Amino acid sequence: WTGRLAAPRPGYAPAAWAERCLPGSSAGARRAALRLRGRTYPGPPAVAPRSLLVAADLRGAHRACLSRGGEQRAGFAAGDSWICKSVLSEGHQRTVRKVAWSPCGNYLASASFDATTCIWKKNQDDFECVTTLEGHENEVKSVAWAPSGNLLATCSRDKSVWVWEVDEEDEYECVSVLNSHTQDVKHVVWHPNQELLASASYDDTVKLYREEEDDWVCCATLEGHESTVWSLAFDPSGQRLASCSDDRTVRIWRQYPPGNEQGVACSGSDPSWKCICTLSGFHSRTIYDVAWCQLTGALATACGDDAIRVFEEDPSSDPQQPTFSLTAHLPQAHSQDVNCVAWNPKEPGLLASCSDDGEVAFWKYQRPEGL
Amino acid sequence: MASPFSGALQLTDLDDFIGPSQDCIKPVKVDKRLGSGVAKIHIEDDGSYFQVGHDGGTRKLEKAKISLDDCLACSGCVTSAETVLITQQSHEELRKVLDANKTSAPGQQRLVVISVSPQSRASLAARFQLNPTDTARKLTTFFKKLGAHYVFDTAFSRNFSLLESQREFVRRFRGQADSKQALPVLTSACPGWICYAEKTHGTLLIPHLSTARSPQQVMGSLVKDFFAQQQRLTPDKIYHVTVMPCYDKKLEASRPDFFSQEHQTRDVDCVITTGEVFKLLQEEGVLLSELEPTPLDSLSELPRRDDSTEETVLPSPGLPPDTSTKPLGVSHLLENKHPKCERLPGSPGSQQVLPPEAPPLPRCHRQQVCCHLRPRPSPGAADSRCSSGSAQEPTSHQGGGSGGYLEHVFRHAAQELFGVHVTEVTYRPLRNKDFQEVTLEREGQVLLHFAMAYGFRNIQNLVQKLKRGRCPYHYVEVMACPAGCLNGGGQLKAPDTADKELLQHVERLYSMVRTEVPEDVPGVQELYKRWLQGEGSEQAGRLLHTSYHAVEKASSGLSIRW
Repeated sequence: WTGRLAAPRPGYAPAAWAERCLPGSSAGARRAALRLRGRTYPGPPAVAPRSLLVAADLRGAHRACLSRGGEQRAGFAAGDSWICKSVLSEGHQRTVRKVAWSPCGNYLASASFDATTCIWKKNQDDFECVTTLEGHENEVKSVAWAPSGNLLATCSRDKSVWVWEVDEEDEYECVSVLNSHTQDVKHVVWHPNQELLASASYDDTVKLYREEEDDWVCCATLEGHESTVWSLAFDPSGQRLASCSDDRTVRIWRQYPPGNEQGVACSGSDPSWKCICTLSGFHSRTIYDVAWCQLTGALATACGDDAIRVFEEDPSSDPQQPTFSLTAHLPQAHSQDVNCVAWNPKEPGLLASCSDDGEVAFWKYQRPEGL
Repeated sequence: MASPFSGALQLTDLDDFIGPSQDCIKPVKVDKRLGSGVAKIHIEDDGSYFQVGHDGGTRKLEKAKISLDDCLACSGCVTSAETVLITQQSHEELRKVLDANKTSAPGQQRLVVISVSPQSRASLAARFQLNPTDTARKLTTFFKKLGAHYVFDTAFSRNFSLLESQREFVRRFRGQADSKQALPVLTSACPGWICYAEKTHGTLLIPHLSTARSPQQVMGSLVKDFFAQQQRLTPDKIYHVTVMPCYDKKLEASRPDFFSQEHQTRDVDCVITTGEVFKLLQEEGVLLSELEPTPLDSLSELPRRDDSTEETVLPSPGLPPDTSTKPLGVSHLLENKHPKCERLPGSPGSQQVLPPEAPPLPRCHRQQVCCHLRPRPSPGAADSRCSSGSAQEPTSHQGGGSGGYLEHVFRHAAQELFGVHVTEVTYRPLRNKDFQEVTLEREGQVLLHFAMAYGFRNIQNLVQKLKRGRCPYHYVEVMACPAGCLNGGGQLKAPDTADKELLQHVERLYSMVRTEVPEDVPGVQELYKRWLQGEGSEQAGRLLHTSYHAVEKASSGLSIRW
């Protein structure tokens, strides 16, 4: 791969599977609590466009990555090594921007710049495209499955967020088209246990949506970031939301339901969201992704300065005004922008990351003593 | 800036990465001269561009112009500046024309006709706490005070639209064996839907669209063809304004299909929204509820013009107010206008109607003789011109606030195709209340399967079903706005009422109006005979139907997509 396209910085990069593990720089990358684990694979080196996203399915077993050429690769863990099991090259005509595993693990949704979202059904090691969701006017930036498994959300550069419903016969229908954002929507994520949807946009806001009668409505707008909000992550309980932005900060927001003890005012029956913590000064470039470990509560960030950082909440801090400490900082995690980080949902401390440098890396994080 | 267009239109037009020079498909013809090589461009102080050729000679370059018409054809352009485009067709434009009428020479004046939609009327009724009849009459007063000559109701032209839709469906249903694309028939009265269909799924959807014109455009035909003939005017001498519940109707009026090349005039010259009417009321300092009512004009009750009468083009401003001794021709025209003058308690016209600071009335003679609008009482003159009444209350149609297409076509088809007389149409809501279906069954068999799909998400689902060949419907009433036309983007909002409550109020007021069955409206049948020379005639086909055109997406080097 030579060079980048002279495009306005999209902040993403298509991905491919790294067929060799990270080079010797990994040895120098040891930091207090972060160690690299990987193996060397035989075979040709990856000719890779850049690495866009990693998604771990809920059982922790599979990983899927996306590629710029429209390919997707799904890899499976087998012991300590990762092997590429399949390449899905039919299906999209342009960059595949995001993939998401369904809660049951049998389906994979892929969102593409060709304005479609493909739904793939897993059949042993094979994947079959069961349907294509059309309707967005231009590039689809993100896709996410609701924990219930029968709702899907997509968002696009056309400023809209779409909610889809799937029935027993694998038929998908659009349930709502939400036009609340005023700019490109970068990311959508569902609440872990409520039917609440969150979206992040180039318009510097985060919006939350819920169902009302037979339609979906925007029930909250979180303002505070000074630039594009790239990604979102709910904490394990769903009471807090982390957002990361081009303004180089991570913000933690907390939900205050009506009648809350802290006396935070709410309008009607919708909870209010307040920013309770801002992590600033840690990142020197745009933060492209944030991931909140559902097992340990650790917060990982993927940054444009090629580094990965992990934060943990100080156990003694006030829940209404928490403080987070930087517990791990891996400067040259990759040789280019880190685009995505994802915690393994089953194995604590196992983190995957991918980068513009075309590689997917796996990391083992150990919480420092005393936490 | 929030776009006032419907959701269906918005999604296709706005794009944050497109610059002004990219993706605009407006073709500018450039005359290429052989061997001219590279030319220099010189900019004058006034901003005009001149091309300087090799020989030193200069040639003024034409400025590329974008109009609202081009907006229809564009798949992603300058519409971030859509406010500019909309103001070209707005109440300000109407004002300009009315003002021009006051000051221009008689030969230059235009006859101003305003057609009000029932939905706009319902919205104004809700705002001013009036019933629909009073709203209609007071609106007539207001528009005539501003300088309009006639105020009509598009519910009348809607009769034609519904009748044509009914006939069309039956024809296509019967012919479905011959053409796979005959069914489903998709309604075409909503321009938001049409623009979306033409731009994103032209080849798939256009064969299914109903060719019947919308009520607005049938009114265009009525006013610019029938009424113009009646008034012995050429169509370009009439300025036809419609009052509509949404902005998308402005785009519909700008379609090239509704522009007469022969007379260089549009069927509908200007569309103003309910909101813009409200602005006009505010600018005039007038409360609609405080105006006196004026009898309604009706296209179907215009008396016949004898051929023996004198030809009259627009009158000269110097006509005396008392025209009882005028030749037959002119008084005939006047009779049209004021069939039944309502005697007002107290002095006619005067302070009850006009606020003290009202602008002077236009100098058209038609206005001068109207007893309601003159500041001075007109002794006796008004009485001699009153003829017995036209219908003095508005009428409407069953089947909801978007015209009632589904209901009318369903009833007609049930009768025509299966001999079933439907007493009540039962709607079954599906996924949401904007997506409902209606079936006609006999002995367990589904004879007719109709649906209504309002709002972008339901349009999406419908289009996807069509794409996969899985659409079970014979007829679908499609509207771009959730809840239909009563909830259009140009309707009035109330700051102190919840949107849902306001909509329900407007719906109630809308359904208060007495409904008619199009077949039974006498004026309609007469017009089919007199004006169109029969149903299914060539005239009817030309004046009551239209066609659609898929929009090709332009691919230019500048539109590289990342």
